[in-house]
Amino acid sequence: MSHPYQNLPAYQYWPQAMTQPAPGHINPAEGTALRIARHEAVVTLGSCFAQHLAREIHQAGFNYLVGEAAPAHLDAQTAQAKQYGLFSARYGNIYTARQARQLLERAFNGFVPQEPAWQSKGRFYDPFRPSVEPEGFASQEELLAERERHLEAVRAVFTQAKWVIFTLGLTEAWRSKQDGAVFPQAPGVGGIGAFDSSRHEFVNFSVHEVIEDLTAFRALLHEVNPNANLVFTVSPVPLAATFESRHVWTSTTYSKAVLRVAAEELVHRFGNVFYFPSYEIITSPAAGSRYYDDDLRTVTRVGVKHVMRVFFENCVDDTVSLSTIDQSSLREALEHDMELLCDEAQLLDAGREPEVTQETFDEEAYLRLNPDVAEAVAAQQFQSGWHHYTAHGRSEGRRIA
Amino acid sequence: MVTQGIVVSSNCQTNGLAAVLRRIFPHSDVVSVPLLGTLDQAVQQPQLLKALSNASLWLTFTPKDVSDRVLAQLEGRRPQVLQIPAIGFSAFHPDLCYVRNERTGALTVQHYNSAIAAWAYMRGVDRSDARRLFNRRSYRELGYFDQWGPSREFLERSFKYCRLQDCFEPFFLHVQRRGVFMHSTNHPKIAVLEQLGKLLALKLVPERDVRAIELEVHDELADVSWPLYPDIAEQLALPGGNYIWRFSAREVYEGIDDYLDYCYRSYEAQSLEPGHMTILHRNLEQLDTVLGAQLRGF
Repeated sequence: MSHPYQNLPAYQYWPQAMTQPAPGHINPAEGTALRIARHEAVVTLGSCFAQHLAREIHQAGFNYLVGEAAPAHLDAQTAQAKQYGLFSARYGNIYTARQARQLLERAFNGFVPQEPAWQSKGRFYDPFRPSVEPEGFASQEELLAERERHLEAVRAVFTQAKWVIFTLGLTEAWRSKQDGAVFPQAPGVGGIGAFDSSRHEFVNFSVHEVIEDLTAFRALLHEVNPNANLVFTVSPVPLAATFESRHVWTSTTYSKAVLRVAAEELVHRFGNVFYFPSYEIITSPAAGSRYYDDDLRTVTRVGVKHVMRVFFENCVDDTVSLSTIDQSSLREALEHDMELLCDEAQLLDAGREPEVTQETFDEEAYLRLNPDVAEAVAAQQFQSGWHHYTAHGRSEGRRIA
Repeated sequence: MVTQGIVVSSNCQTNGLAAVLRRIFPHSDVVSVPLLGTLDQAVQQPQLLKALSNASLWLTFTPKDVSDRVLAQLEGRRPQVLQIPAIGFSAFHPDLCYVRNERTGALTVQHYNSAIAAWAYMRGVDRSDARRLFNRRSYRELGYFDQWGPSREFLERSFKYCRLQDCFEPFFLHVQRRGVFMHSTNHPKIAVLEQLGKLLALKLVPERDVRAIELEVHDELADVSWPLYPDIAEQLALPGGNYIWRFSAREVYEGIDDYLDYCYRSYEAQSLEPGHMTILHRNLEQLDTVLGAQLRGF
């Protein structure tokens, strides 16, 4: 009797895909149609986890677009603090689909949010990227001028990109009641700006809203750059806090589920939209939570490396597959070695007993491993451990090391 | 119910497995008889025959024909025999190998060697260049990143040989979740022996499910461990990558330089001559090709 689950690719069956491969070799991207060539221009945006992807893609020699280069007078540490090169432009973390949509609306469609600059200790902060200037701007004018330069850079990178990789982070956000402009963080957090219930409100986007925002984001991108392809991933980093009146983990699962469903919906609707399973790699049962640090939230380096290994091996045109390297001789050799099991090597390699001489005999180890012999030597029943070993220990199979 | 004597005979894992079984069967007399030396010597140990003469069950890793020969020497009642696998798994430590001094026919002391270090010594490579061979490219081209599948298959075959194929999945799925579950290619951590012991116990006494019992047995193999090289740790996505070689509680080499110093000194002290040494079960041609190509670029 035949049935539909017969003869599927190995990655469609749990044992072959999840329990049999080495833990670091679980490959949820197997079978993907996503292929990025190293020379093709890549832009990244998204939540905290997107920073890892940006850095790794950059370091791997991809044509990673950076629209806002650090001024020459800034040292590397200051440039990093000001988020130069963190993403393709200095938009900071973009957590929600609405935030990304509004970034393009501001850059290309003339959307000008009404929210004034946020202030702290006499300095001015851009409500839509408050962390890019840790010390704030000296004046509102400076902030607006810098914002204009930033939006120019956004226009440049998004019109040039062949690939836009967007890591979806959250569904919860804070927005302006006046025009719906979404902020990356709640007003007043970190002492920047001030929360005003008459002007600000909390929102937790539904799956329909996220799909609508991502569709609008794609449409805007397509309008200014018809050749751009979109890659969605979902950040595996849980919420730091939820404003919903419920457990933070419950809110996290809601948020990630919505983002995952929305990404899938876009992939089904449009031909040039892809999904890359960062979330699945990090949260996989095969990883056994090892990819989270002790705070159960921060993704560890080995986790990020696993994500990037899967990315480079499956989604990049020029990667040489390890399967092209002939492993047969080593496999055979290792099997022999495993049969050559420690001291019992001699059992399997008949007739070849390791020669233990008085010079190579470890007296201290022998007495430690055989306390009764140590007692006998102390009681002067034997001159030394070596004497005991030659007289009795060898034939008794005593441990020598 | 297992109430009488149990004899455990295996390799270095014997004592650990016996300790596990003592916890599981506290009212049984569990005797540990490690089989060392040649097979013929090992199975003729008076100690083994004496232990077996009082036992109702013999857990042994010896092939059936060998255990039959041993039993033939017993007078009177013979114990039931259960063949057990010796645990070997090389994916964490694929560089570990054995080296034989062809002048004496003996294995080196320590038994454990690095194939890269041994090859470098054999080819007269100085220590500083040898040190540079410990890199991702060497590991990749020597196939060190791709040993999980063959190692798993080897273990599975070992279980099948012992007619314990139904135990393999519950054994392996459990231990692989523990991360690096081996101290070296043939020294399992105690959690591995605990799981093996529990599954064997379940086989012997199906009505008593011991899998949930916390055994907390001392790990006497823990003093000796081969490092999980950082690049291999990254490939296997496991924490704890390092270059720390432990040959006993006190004999520890931290870092590649330290280890190579020890290794070269030790080879010299053992009068190991490059022309009279064999890196066992390794493809020397492959080592020459992969490592030699890098040396020419240094």
